[in-house]
Amino acid sequence: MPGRLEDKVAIITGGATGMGRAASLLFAREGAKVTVADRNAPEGRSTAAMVGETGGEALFVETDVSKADQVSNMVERTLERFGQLDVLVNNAGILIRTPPLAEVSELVWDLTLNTNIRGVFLCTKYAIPHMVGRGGSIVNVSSGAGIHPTTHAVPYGVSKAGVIQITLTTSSQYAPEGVRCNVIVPGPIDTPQARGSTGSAEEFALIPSRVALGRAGTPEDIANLMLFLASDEASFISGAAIQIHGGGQV
Amino acid sequence: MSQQVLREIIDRAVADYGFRLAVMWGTEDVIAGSDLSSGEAAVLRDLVVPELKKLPNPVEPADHAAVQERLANLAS
Repeated sequence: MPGRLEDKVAIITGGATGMGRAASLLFAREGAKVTVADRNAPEGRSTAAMVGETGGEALFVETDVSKADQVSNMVERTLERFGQLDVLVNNAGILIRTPPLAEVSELVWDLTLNTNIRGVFLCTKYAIPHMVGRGGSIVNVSSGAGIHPTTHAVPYGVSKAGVIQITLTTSSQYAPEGVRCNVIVPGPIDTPQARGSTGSAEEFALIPSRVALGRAGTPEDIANLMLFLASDEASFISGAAIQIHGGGQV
Repeated sequence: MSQQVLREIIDRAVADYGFRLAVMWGTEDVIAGSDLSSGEAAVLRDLVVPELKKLPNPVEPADHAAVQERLANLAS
């Protein structure tokens, strides 16, 4: 039986760990050829190797999504290796905890927005010309912090709100040319970033008690939604922001 | 002045995993956005970052001070 992404080629940014790694493995299992892009080269290569071990095909490209030359190289290497580009998952992101807005440093502001929003802009900018006319799907990753006030990570919340806006813009401008663009809005997900940013193992362990469905999400929960949005099953869905948060906070 | 900035970078990278990721994988961006001397930049790049990559995720709050002190000593 053909996979849900048979004959498709996907780039997954932030593919070294967490949701990006889960998506890389799932997409490959469903027939896609995958470019794993990340600036964490050791873990990125591990993800690509894991794909290979399960019979899939993956290419690792060391990429800082905030750098135009590296993003251009990521797209070009993908086209050289696989010959086409059908899916872009803009998953790379960073969450740095901050004090209240007036005390946020310019350094942390720039580091966060450069990865989280400039990165989505650049990856989309360089990928989309290869999708126009032949079809494609872009899946962006925002956060609940992008739609609710964020007390502990101001630049992160602002950047994730921006990801929703760039999704709406991309969809409105490129859906008529066959490129769908949607955004996932996750709640608490058990990733290395989330565990690290929560502050302590004890604090992280409290998350299930605050979620209606009684647990933190898994990277696979998010990867399943990425797969659906990337696949032709979602062919009439574009410009959607889909929350996946276990029923929200209780 | 910049010695203090280097110490702040170290302290924050130990206590905040997200900032640690930025320092580990975007070292040159952090250097460019900070008031570090070339010598301090080299310390961050060559001595501190390799140690950051060995830390657990997260460093538990009770361990912050000791780890921060150990890494700060690399710069002295």
